[in-house]
Amino acid sequence: MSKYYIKVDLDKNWRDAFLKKTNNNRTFYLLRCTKEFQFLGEVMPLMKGEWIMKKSYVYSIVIIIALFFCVSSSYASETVKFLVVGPMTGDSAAQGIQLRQGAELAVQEINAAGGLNGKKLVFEVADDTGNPNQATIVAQKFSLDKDILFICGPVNSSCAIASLPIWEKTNVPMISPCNTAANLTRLGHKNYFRIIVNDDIMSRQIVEVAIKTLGMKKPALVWENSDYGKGMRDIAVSEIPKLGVKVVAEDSYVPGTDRDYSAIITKYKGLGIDGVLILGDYTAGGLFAKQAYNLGFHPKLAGSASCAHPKLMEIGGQGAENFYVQAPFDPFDTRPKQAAFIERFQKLAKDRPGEWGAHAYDVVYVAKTAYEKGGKDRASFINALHKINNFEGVTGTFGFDQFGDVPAKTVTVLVVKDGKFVNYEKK
Amino acid sequence: MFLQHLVNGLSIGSVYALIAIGYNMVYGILELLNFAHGDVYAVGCFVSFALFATGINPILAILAGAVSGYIINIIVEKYAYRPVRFSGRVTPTISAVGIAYIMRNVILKIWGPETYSFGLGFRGTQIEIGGLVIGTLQIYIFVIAVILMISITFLMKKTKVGQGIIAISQSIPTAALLGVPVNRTISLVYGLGGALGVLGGILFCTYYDSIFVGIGFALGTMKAWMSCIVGGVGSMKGAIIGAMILGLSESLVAGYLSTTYKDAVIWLILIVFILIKPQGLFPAQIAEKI
Repeated sequence: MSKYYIKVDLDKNWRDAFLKKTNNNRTFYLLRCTKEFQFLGEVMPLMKGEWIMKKSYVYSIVIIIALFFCVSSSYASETVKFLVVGPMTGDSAAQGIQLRQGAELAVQEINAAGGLNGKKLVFEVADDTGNPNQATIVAQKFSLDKDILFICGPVNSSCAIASLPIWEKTNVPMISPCNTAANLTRLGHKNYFRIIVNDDIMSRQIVEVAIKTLGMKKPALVWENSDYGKGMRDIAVSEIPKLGVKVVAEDSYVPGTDRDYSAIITKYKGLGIDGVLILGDYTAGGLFAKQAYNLGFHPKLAGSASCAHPKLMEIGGQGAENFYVQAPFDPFDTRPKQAAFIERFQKLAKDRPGEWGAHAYDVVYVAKTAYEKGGKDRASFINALHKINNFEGVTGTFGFDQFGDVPAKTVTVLVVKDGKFVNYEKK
Repeated sequence: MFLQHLVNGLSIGSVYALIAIGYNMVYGILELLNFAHGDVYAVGCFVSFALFATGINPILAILAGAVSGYIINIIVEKYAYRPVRFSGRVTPTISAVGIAYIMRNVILKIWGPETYSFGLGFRGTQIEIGGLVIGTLQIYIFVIAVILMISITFLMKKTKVGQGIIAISQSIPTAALLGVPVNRTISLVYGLGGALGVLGGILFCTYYDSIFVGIGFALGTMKAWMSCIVGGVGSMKGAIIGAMILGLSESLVAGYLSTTYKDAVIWLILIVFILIKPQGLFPAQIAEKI
């Protein structure tokens, strides 16, 4: 039986009577006072209680209150706490839930192996719904919690941009698993780190794959009309001419609305396009591939990281064959470390880890390394993070530069073969 | 290339037409801007999708979807539209927007925001004539749209129920005085509208081999509404031709002008069109009361 500190609201008269009964001893056994137990009041004496589970109405209330306070305040000294922030509800909930599961897996493993220098690692989850407004509310609420050592999240770059100034006030270190907006690390926030390669580097890489590896001579760009797609499009438009090739055509689509690419495909067919670079998500990539195939147009296809999802083949069917995509994490990786992680993750989440689950897992482990290197409080934790070099995670080997970026990390390129992603280097 | 754009446009147009027919029934008869149409049929499509995923016969899955669309719309009509039927045109519209959100959230709750592959196991082939590619599915959809249009016109013109619907569209009190069962008929119109919407929606999903929560509003309600405005409110022929015009202009604008500003250009065309011909191409011939 463990001991809990419980705060209970009591009626003043009742409290006096009770304290008299127990000879002014504030340490009491709740077990003994079931009859008189009433939650009426305003006064909050801090009492120490111990109880045995019984089928009693009073007890259930006591337990609920006790649990509530246990979670929020009592551990402080024996634990290290962090916060997982991401979209747990709403349109991108699937990503946020993976984030939580990745962190949960790492925490389970670390605690099973003895914790952080003997201290238990715990975390809380906050839902920003993928919405910058909500992200600032979360930041305002949790930045006052002194127990939080660092943040694992958020998923959306826009949420990071909105909430970082608030977190910075209390110097809470933020390690993002998957913010890719290129300028995020250049905004001057000293508390910001991310373990994913940014859009700038990713766009350059996919351009290189498309032009050099696939040998596109007359490429066209199809980009998502959002800040994400537009950013990549700008880089692709400036980078492709440097490789000696001209962008013949470019078209955009509205994410979540446009489903018909037949007009674009017909136009490309007429222009003699030999390769299409899709800077958008798997739905667009899959639909474009399928409709192009149906219209008898067979260009070389390459797509940005958001295309790297098994749904690309599900939607694209035969058309998605030989589609090249970038993947910050390969859910079918067969290297021993990654394969073992994928297996453990599947056991916990009943699903393969995507980039979110894998990166959250790495965030917790990189935080563990920083803690063990002396990052006991927020300021020293940030210093310790900067000192990390060659950290070997499941998403690759990396270290942070002075901006909080991971310059040495590379992104895998996958290609669809027989309806499955394979690593193109191993193909 | 122009011919290919034309074919593409006509196939998108026939998909829009299927959705617009159901929409036009309600819009034309009750003058209700039914913003919930798309989201109601989206629920029906998801029902079909879920049933199809369990491995039952595709025809049964389609029918079950249509029936669920019918039932949902009848319930919605009874509890959301009927109580506000006579409180002006704005109130039922607000009610419809509310229903749209509820339906969308039902889908988000059960199926989430992801795009699923949903082709009903249909493997279409392509016919190629001198560089012009036409899918067999495109032909089917076109044919189905025409058949539906003819049967609905028949229903309206030749049956007692159809005459009742027309009577209600002209004046509800007069129709009631003449013994038309008003509530039952309006219920039927909504139900049929929902079922037709689901059929259109399923063909739409099959055409793109994908289903997601957005098929309702942006691709259903708005396109159906635009088609009705262009074609003429209350006219089946108008809805279909309006949808074809919409599909063609989308295809041609995307092919020759710009994909980025496609929607802006289309809406501009619509605004100009409304200024020139506010009743649409084929306005329903209803005698105005003086």
